[in-house]
Amino acid sequence: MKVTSRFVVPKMRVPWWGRLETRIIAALVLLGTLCVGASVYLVRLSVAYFDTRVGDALDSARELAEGIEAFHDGLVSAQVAAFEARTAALAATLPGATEDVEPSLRAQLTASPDVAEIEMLGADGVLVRVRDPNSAEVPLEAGVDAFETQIALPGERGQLRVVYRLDPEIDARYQRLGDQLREIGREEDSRADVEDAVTLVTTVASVLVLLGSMFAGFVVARTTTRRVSELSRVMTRVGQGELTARSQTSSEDEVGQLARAFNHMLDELAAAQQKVAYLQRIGAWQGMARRIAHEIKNPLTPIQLAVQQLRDKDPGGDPRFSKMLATSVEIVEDEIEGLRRMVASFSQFAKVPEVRPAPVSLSRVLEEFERAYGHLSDDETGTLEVRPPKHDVEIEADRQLLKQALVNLVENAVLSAREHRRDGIRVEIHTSSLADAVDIVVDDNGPGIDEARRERVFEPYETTRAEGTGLGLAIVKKVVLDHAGEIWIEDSPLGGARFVLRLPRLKAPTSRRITGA
Amino acid sequence: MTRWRRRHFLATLAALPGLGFARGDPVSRRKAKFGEIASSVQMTLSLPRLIRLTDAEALASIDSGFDTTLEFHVTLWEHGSREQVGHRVIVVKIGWNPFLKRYVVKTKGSTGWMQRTFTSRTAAIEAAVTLDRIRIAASDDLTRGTFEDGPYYFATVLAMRNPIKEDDSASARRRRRGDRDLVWFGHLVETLAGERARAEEVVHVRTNYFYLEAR
Ligand SMILES: Nc1ncnc2c1ncn2[C@@H]1O[C@H](COP(=O)(O)OP(=O)(O)OP(=O)(O)O)[C@@H](O)[C@H]1O
Ligand SMILES: [Mg+2]
Repeated sequence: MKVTSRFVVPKMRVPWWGRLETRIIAALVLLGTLCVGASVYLVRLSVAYFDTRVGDALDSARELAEGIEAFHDGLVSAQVAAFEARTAALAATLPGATEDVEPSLRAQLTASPDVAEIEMLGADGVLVRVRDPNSAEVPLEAGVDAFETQIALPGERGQLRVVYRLDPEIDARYQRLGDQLREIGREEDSRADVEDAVTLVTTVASVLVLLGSMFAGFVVARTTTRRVSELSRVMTRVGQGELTARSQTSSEDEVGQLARAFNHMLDELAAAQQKVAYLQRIGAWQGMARRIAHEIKNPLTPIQLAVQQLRDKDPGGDPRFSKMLATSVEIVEDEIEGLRRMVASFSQFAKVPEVRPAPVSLSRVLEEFERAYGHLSDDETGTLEVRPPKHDVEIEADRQLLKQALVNLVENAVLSAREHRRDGIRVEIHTSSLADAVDIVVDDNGPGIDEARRERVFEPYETTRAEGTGLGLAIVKKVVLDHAGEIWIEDSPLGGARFVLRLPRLKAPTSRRITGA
Repeated sequence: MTRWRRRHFLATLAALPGLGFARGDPVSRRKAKFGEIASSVQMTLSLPRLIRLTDAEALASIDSGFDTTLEFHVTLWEHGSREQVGHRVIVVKIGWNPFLKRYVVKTKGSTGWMQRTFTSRTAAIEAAVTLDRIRIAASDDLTRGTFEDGPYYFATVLAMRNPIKEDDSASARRRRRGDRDLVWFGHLVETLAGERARAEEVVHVRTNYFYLEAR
């Protein structure tokens, strides 16, 4: 079947900036940039906030350290002054006699534990030195754990030198303070850099996250839009006349639903087109059948009359000729009878009337059919069983034509079954209701119909029977299609063929009331 | 400065894998005097760049009474081979001592601290930045040679003013807190912030070649 209809399809090329994919990604980029910008700004703010607080803390730490510096200076000066005063006092109390000096110095040494060494150099060049035995081993480090004072003795008596012991922990503590002060300085110096680096790290991290999510979004957008554009490509092909094209999408989401709906629509469209084409073909055949029937029927009666006259007017002179004539006339009459039958079926086919549907209950159609044609197979060789529907349904149908269709089907079934078996022929008719349609099913236990022929047998003049015309099923299908129904063939559980007629149900107000009650 | 730094960060970022190791101090050449005294090889080298007499901050720091620490890492190399012949660390402290009312230069040798005092700050600084006849190797560790054929030796000296003790640094404090993410973040930030200077001043020099005369 060649499809000639052609839709006008607009060119499907979408510029890159108009594509769904581009737009989704653009939206992602915009949103992401906004988020990153906002977070970077917030980070900058919080860094600046903590920076001012840390800055204040550092400032006060520095002030404190500088205060301690001044304090330390003062402490040292005071200590030095004290040491010098003590040395002066010692000098004042020193005995005049040189030999008395040593015990006096020793007494001083034991009396003041922070004195490490006292030395007196007399004017006469005599050196007297007393030393604390505990500190003798390790030489003291001047300025750190020892402090030396030296004064001239009054009255030109010589020089006095006193070494005081300092607590080295004071210096050590002071040096640690220096380390800390340096650390503060370094912290202050690097603050701006650290601030920049924190912002940079956050920015880079945010940008990485942004890129990651953009990539993910890109992949998602890509898969979605790819399926959408696949669907649009299929639509384009269908628009260009390729009605068998179908979308392959199998997903369960909205796009998948759309694709399935589209496929379904195409199936319906194809079925409708096939129906139309079939009906057109039947119409053409009907026209031809009508003309043939007309052309053949008219000369038949004169021919028959002429032949009868020929037989009646036989003088009977020659018995051989008479016999031959009689035989010939019989043959001609036989053939004429055959032609008449053919003409009859041709004109019956040609005259299949318009369907005039009216609401009718299905069980009534079946009852009438059984009453009128039940005898069709009710001989000793077989049975016809008609099972009316359990719950009656209303259909919009032409009773006469529907019965005619059933007759054709039952006739076919009986004839086919009879070719297949001697007796035990069974034909069953039953119905089954669907939501918006009703099936009339005709089963037989004949030979059945091959899968390959199931479409072809509905074509006019398609027959396997010697005296068949092949019009029976064509009429049936035309009637069914005119009822907006469908017909198809299946395997029957009885072993033969099953014909299924699906007719739309009538949405009768009565039935609706029943379901509503 | 900040602009340049930022571009520098980005460059560093591009070279991320090698971070932290890639950076070295530029090594300059400086003339040193070598001599053999008794059984040891001694070097005299002056690095006035370590405390410039124009560096007001450094001078103020010396005057403050807090010690300024100088650390010299002396490494002896043989020319043409990549192996070091000897290594030594010398620590020098310079500062104002309020008790003595003098500048004190203390050098840590093998026996302990050696102390010198100066009334002039300039003299004290000069003494502090000069490695005066320090022993860099035993004569036996070097091969004697000739002027023509060598083997030649040279020393590299990495000198730092107030080097940062790794223990005091902020990153060490973070590590002690045990938050791994914080350590990682801090590491990243510090690398980007321009690896914090190891010291207030770093001078890295290599000396002229010398050879050990045959006896
Ligand atoms: N129930 C059936 N079992 C097996 N074959 C069938 C059955 N019904 C129809 N056929 C096949 O379909 C062909 C077409 O049937 P159709 O009714 O159109 O023509 P016909 O029966 O041969 O001729 P006509 O009905 O005009 O007398 C038949 O020749 C037969 O081969
Ligand atoms: Mg038939």
